Amino acid sequence: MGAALTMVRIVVRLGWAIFSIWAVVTLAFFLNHGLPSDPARAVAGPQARPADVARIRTQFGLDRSVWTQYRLFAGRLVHRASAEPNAKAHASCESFGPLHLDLGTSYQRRKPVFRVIADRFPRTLHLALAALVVQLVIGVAAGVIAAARRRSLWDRGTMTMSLVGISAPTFLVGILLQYVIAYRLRWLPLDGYGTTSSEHVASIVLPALTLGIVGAAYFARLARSEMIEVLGMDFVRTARAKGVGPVGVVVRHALRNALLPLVTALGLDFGVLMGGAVVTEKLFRWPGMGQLSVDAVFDRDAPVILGVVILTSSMIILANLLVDLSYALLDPRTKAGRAG
Amino acid sequence: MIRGCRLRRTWARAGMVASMLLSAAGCEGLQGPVGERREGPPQRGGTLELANYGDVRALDPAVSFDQVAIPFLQLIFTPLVDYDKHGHIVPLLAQSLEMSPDGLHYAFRLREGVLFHDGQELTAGDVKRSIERALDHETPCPAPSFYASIAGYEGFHDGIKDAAGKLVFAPHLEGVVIEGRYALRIDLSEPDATFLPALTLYFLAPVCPSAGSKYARDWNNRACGSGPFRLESWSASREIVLRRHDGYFEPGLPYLDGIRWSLLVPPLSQRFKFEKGELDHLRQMHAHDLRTYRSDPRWQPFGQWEPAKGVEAVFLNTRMKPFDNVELRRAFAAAVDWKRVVAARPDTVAATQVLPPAVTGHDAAFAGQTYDPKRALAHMNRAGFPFDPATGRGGYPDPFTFVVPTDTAVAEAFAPILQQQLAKVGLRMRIKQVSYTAYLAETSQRNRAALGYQGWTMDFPDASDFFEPTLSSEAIQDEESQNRAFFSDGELDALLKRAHRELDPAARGAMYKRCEEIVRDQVPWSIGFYSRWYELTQPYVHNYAVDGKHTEDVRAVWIDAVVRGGKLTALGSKKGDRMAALRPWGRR
Amino acid sequence: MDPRALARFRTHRGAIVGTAIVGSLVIMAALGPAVLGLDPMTSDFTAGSGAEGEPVGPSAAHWLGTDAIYRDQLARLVYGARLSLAIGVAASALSLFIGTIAGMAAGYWEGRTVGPAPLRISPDGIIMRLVDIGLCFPFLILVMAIGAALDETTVWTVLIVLGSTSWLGTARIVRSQTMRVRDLDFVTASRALGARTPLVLVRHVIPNVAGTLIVLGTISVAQMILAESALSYLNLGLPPPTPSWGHMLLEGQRYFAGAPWLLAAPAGAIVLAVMGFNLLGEGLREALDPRESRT
Repeated sequence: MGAALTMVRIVVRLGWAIFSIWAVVTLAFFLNHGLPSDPARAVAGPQARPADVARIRTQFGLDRSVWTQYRLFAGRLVHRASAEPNAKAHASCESFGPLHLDLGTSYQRRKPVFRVIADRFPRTLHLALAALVVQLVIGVAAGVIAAARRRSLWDRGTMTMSLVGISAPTFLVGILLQYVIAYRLRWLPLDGYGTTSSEHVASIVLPALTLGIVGAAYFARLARSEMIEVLGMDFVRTARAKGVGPVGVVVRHALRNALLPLVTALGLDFGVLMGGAVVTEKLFRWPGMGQLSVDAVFDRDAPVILGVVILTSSMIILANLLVDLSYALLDPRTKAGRAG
Repeated sequence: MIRGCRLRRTWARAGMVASMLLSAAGCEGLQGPVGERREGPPQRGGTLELANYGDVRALDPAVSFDQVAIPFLQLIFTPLVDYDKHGHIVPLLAQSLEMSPDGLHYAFRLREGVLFHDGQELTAGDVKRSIERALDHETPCPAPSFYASIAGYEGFHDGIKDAAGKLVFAPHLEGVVIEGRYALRIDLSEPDATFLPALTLYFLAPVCPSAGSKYARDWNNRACGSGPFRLESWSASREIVLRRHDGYFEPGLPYLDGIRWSLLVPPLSQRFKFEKGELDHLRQMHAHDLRTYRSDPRWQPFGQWEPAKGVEAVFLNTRMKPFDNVELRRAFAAAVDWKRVVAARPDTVAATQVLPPAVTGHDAAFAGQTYDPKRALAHMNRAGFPFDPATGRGGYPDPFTFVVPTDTAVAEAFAPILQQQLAKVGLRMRIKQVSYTAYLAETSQRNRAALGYQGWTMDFPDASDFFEPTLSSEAIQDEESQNRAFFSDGELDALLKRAHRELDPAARGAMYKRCEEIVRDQVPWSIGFYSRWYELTQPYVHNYAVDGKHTEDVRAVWIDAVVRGGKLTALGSKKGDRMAALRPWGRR
Repeated sequence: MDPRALARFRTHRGAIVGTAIVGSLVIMAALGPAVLGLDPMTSDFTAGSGAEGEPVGPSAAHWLGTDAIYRDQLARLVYGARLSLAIGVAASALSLFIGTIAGMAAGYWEGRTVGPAPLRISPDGIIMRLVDIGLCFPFLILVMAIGAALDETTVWTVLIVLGSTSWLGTARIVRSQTMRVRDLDFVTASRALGARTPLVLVRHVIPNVAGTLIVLGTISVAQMILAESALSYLNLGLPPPTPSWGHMLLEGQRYFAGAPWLLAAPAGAIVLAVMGFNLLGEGLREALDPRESRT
């Protein structure tokens, strides 16, 4: 009985998730259409004569009514692969088994939107992971040590530095890092992505540090307050009484218990970072999803905007879904949780 | 350990790091040029290293028309005619050109034995095929109307409605006639003085047979023409590598083996690479760097200003309040001291007339709109809105909005200064920043923007390209007007129409001069400034031509390999020593 | 106000520093640049411009130097304080207001449905779904849409954008607090005695939530200042010539090679202001909602 109920709940949640994604995308479509500007003009350039722009507008199908455009867009989004897979009509489709996903073609870049996003997505992923590593290493280490040595210089220093860290805008940290490390010392590239693998690695350091430092400040405080609570608990006193050294207490006993909230925060952070830290990507000209969205919004490149919206909203909604489901499964109050 | 000792050690370490950082911070200063300049005969060989801040989207000349792509098109394709360094149009791909006295027929004799990059010979048939490919109605060409005077254009490009109301397109462009294997004739439907200047652009440049006769998107990456360089590789958004086309029809040219062009390199990174000698040419740099290079005596011999190719102004909507009143417009023009305004940026210079210096017809001695606050107040009086600067009372009662695209020099630096200057004569201006695409839309709609930024860069260096799309009545539309001032002057329109067909350069020049006077006096624009590029090359780069007619023209460049080769070791060791000094722990 | 709370506040070092910083900010904003005899909007072409038209550094005439078009930096900084404070407080208030109402509605009706039989809806469900959708809507498009709908970016559009996109966190917290209060005995009793819903909410929920709201509000001001500076940095904030700190950072960044003071002044101001509010918020949290009573 419980299992069936859970299944129903899962299906309902899934249905709602799909509805949410559709709602967001539709809203974005019409909102984008309502903004005052002209993608055909954006493609043709400011100097193209009106007659020529009109021709391009026809070629892009932009002279049709917004409802027609929406109908075409929604209809083509997910469709069955037809008999001729390489026809011109399917030029921008990506096939997933029997289905085609068609996100259209970018006006400005003249490439299929799926390709454009597929190029950029891994770069945002790498940046997000690198930033998380920085956050974890610096933040948790600093916070744990600060908790272990309360009221010492280290503790006070960490608290002050982390306060400055959460008070500074992210791009300010980035600008400072750029100025000192890239401009004055010239140890690392100022911005961009580089062309070789070693350049990629060198280029990711500064933006990852920028995102990581600010995140580390939050993490340090979080870790510190969690650790302080845990260190005050009975089982830690017992461990100390049994003769476990201070490092062992911290690492083997206390840390494990303080981990859960940290991991939750980490998960949330990852979601935020994957949204494409727009300002940092703009500052470092990191060719990821954030910069793609900014460019697309300013260029009024509707296919790309919608593709990005679909991707990010799907990710967030699905992540929400997973978190909800895992709570349902792990919650000790439910039968499923107790069984687990 | 005693707590005090530990503390002191921590501070000591912190202090050491800080002082090292500070000392490193101190070594900021401009590097000198790499090597010296030696004169001598041209040397063959070498790869030129260039960079650009932008990204190239398309290398198909039929559709590509942005500022970033043009230098590439210049190298890969050859148009029939080109500008020489004195600003005259001369045959390039063609060996000779004859124009009939009535201006309706242009006979081109092509060079024989010209090879495409894929080895095929270029004939008149290829020229016709390429022209039709570009002007085809399904090709997303941004400027086919430049060639609307070719006979048969309407039937071929626009199509004609048949009896059933359906659009029918002619299969060929009848104005382009093949007269022999190397002979081509283009017929126009009316005399058109802009035809030859438009032909210097790359839209109609011959493309390889592999491009076919219809535009296809995927041919972009395989751009292939008859220019001095061929496309060897294109890593999207990273770099483009070009190699010498051995079959180029100019014997001995090009000197370079190849060119490597990095894309999406920001100005600061370009400057760093340039200093290290990794870049041979620098054009895009921050204002601060520009000032530093210009004032550094070591670099002065290697820098030059490119003549400005565009004009930037403020348009005043002549059909909207308050600027439907010509006296208010004159007050505006007299109230603004553009010299002061543009002093904030080193790469801008105040403008006197619509035509910028690179365009034929620019007259350096022309007296344009002048700054004269007393006269401005007199105009305000005559307009019916007297203003008393002492008390601040009077002037035009309502504020008006200045529409400007974000992230431009005008928005950031110039608009606030304009605001201050206008306030002194009783004109209250508000600044509205919008995205570039929104700016294009808003300022081109009727009755939407009373005041805004207007810029125009040359498509081809001819006066008609400036006046006709921006100031003639024909350019006025309800939704897409590039005549943002909605300016309509009968005399100007008549002059422009005549000048478009006038084949005598002197007569044309006089007509455009009169147009400048009309613009100066009727003030649809407060003519602001020209932006120009400062170009730096390394001493070992020779033959880099900076005229107003081309952009980054490296077709005839040669590199002094001896000077360039010598610099690497010298620079490397100096830098290495300095870096080692900064990192003592590296020696452990 | 609880005397013990006041005592806790007074002894918390961070709270003192925070109050001092916020206090000076308020004074600076209230007095404005006119007090210093400076105009943030006038370009000084004589003393403010260097030999080649570059801005001058800190000097006698301009204590913090001049910006790219020769306007006094100090005056702009002080004017910017006024803007940041006003926008921060107002946007916080808006976000708190929306969040509290949404959170209370969601929390109070959590698990229950409302309305006549065939049209039963769950307010909690709806509000939480809105939160879901709101979270994944692209911020940039929303900002541009609001700006376009209202025809230009003004203080009001920035306020609306900031306020309407950040109430979600508040809503969640208020929701859980409301649920906790709702299930208390005396509340159930008072409802059984016939007290109507709004009365219950106002008399019981709000006082219990007030402490948390004050703390949230203070920290929210800090976040609003940061958010506004990010918006201005992306050039989506107040238009020129308004000197908001974020915009000054954007201009300063362009000049960090030749005129690093252009960056230092607004950077320091933002960091200090945000730090001040954060410290104040933490102090208030310690005072009103100390660690021992939090679970």
